[in-house]
Amino acid sequence: MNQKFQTVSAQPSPAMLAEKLAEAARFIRCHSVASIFHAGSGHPGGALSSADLFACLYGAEMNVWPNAIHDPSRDRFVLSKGHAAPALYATGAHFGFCDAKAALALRKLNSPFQGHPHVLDLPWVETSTGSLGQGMSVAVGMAIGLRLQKIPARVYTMLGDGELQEGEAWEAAMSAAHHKLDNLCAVIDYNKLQSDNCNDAIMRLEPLADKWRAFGWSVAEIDGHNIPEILDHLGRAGATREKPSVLIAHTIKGKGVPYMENIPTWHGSVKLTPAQTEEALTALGASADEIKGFMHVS
Amino acid sequence: MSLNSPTASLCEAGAPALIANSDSLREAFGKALSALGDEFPKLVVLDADIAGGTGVHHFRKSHPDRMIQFGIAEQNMMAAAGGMAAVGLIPVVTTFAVFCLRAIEQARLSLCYARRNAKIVASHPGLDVGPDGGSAQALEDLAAFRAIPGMTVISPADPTEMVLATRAMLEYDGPVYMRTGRSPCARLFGEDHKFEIGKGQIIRDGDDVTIVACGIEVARALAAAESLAEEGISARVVNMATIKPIDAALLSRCAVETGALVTAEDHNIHGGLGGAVAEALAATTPCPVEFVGVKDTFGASGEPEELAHHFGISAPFIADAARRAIRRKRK
Repeated sequence: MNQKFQTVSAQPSPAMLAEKLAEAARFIRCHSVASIFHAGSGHPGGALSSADLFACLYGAEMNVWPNAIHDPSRDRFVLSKGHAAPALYATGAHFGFCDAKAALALRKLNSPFQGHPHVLDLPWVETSTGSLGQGMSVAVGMAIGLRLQKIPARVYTMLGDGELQEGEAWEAAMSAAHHKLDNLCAVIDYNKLQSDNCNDAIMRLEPLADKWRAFGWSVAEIDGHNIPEILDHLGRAGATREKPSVLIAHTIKGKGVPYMENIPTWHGSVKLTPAQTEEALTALGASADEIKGFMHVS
Repeated sequence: MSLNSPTASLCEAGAPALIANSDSLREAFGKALSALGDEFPKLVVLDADIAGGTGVHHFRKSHPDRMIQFGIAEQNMMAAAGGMAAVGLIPVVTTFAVFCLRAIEQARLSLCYARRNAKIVASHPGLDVGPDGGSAQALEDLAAFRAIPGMTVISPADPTEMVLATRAMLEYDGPVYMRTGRSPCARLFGEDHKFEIGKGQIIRDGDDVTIVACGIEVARALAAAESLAEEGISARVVNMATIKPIDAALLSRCAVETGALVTAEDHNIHGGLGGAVAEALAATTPCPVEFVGVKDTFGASGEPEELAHHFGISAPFIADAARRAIRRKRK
């Protein structure tokens, strides 16, 4: 890569890398649950479902550096599903973009860790999101702009499944294919649940892969909790020419916390009790000391 | 599959002449943008399939590589401008004013909230749209875009000012919403005209009342002042090309010096220039203010001058409002 600080040491073995990223994903889940607990509100389901994707993007795939967040050659990430902000902040904390303790002050007045990412508060989040479908368009604009300036950086955007009900997402999809944005990769956290119910009950998305193919994208359906598979397909997306790529990552909403898994109630903004939080952290494999650290913020 | 589907080159060869008048604000804008293209290498222009209508066909001709086509999909175009600005370009989003309203939430989040150096230039505002009718006549855009924190809102009055405002908009670092205009309009200003964002100008002096106008209403305000002069009323005319930030100091001075004001705009009377003027004066120098604009209704088909008369924004209505304002002052 280059001389800048790297989030993952050079060329670890695939097994070592997968282990590191699994640990990162575990931290992201724990930190997300803890910050939502302290906030008294927030969306745990989608943060937990997307943690492995975040770990792979920030821990291996993307050229991003905490000590060079304004470097023009960095890759760009846009969290189109802005309500997964706790997972983004936890990712930033794990990989050195922000302080882990500070990032527990989620959704608090005078904290830069707003309920949805804001670029003026945290420059490394790249843009402000929270209105579904819109981050995808911003990512398209970035990809066009980088290519126009002959900057070889790539653009990644993470979308929720529910937000694919927004017309703008498909406007963006059409434009990305039309402009042959092979420097753009969309990752869909396809956990099948949205705010009020499952996708199928609210507004059917299937056949989802066919839709993206029809729009002119290179499409892969993957297990969004299988780290080697995620890495493999992110790599393939990078090698795809003349087309944007989308990874439809099948995930489990609330992944890792049995009482949340696949239950839509945990999508929405919820208030976690101390007992629920401790149970979640325990299920996620946090040690007693870690739990203490997450639960008690001075 | 490709039976009967014309190729791009065929479309070009058979294209009819564009319906565009060289004296319209949109044409002045398009030519200005084209002329500034080399000086501003980061400038890119975003189009939603109406370059012929917005005037940016001039830029497409001079700088085809920096003309980005988004198709008829304004929401995506608006937010994508945020992405382009994020990577260092100066995007200029161009479409009709009504379609800017369609994408206002994208402008709010991805341009203003993120504080991007991106510009929106809206052609076809107000009754000036004419025959296309009520659905196409944006009478709410100044109010709506003015309400977004951090947004600068500009509405130049003539082709000369449009050229200057286009440069000023590109030199300014931050989000801007600027109105152009569809129909032929009068040339009011000479080569020595100056434009500065946030500054109004007294373009005709007077003592009895001040008419504050923007966009194409400035010419009508001058005509109203002329007719008022014939009956011995001395009307000052202020060209308030920047609606936000409004030039509160100048308004306050006019309130003190003339004691009454009239606002005139090709826009709903609610929330646009009139609202901005009233807010500024209420906070500093309250005085009688009369509002000339479309009275909280939608437009209709017709020629711009017919519509101006029908909806009460032509020069005689401005003169009437001035008389009313003066009467109120004398109470």
